[in-house]
Amino acid sequence: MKNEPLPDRDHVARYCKPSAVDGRGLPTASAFTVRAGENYLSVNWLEHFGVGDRSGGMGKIDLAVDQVRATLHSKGFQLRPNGRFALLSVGGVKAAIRRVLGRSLHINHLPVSGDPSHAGILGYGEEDFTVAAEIRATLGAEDVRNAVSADGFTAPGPS
Amino acid sequence: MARFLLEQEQLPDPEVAVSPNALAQVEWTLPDTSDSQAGNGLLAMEFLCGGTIRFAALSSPYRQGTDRLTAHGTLPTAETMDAVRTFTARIART
Repeated sequence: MKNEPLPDRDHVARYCKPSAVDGRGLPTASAFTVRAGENYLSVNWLEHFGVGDRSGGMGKIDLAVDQVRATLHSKGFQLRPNGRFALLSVGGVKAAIRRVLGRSLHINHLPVSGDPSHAGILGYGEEDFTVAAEIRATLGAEDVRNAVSADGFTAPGPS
Repeated sequence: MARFLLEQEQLPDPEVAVSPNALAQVEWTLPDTSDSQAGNGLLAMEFLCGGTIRFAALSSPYRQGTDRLTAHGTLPTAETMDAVRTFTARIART
């Protein structure tokens, strides 16, 4: 499946660097701001790993986040201890933006080499600060995970 | 941004972040005072190079069937503060 919409019942994880995490450990709107020149926000599709079904309990979704950590690690991406993963509901984000702003976002599977779970939130740009804020507002503390797992798994920096 | 924050001394210190596009952003969490207990709102601002502020404010997260206030736009500082007065009133120091 490539560039196909993800099911509304599924979830994606967005890595939020420490400078986009507030004093309570929650991502700020800047974590969902699209970089200039890019046409989507990079995320990882949790159900790709077959363990992301939230109905199976928080343990399963945490296993999927572990897989995302491993994937980013293998790509040489450095996860910071004060960073976070924001867990977003595909259907929840799309519904909020559609109802509030009357706009359609797309959350599609965009696999790349070494990262088959890669996906993107498409349909807004760097100027759409309101979209970033609305995505931020969908998050509660229960939707956030530490970037570095409790067992100390960290990604090494580029060599 | 620093001047803005110094001038807004009635507001508590915000969370400060840098966007992927190297723009300073500030964000305040708005306490949830609604009957529906829909959750905290937020007021976020991004400081653009031309001296204007891009802002987004929402009184609570989107919940189906729940009324809420929102404001967003890009304006000079004074106009921005006018546009978000309803929201800053909820967090201003007394």
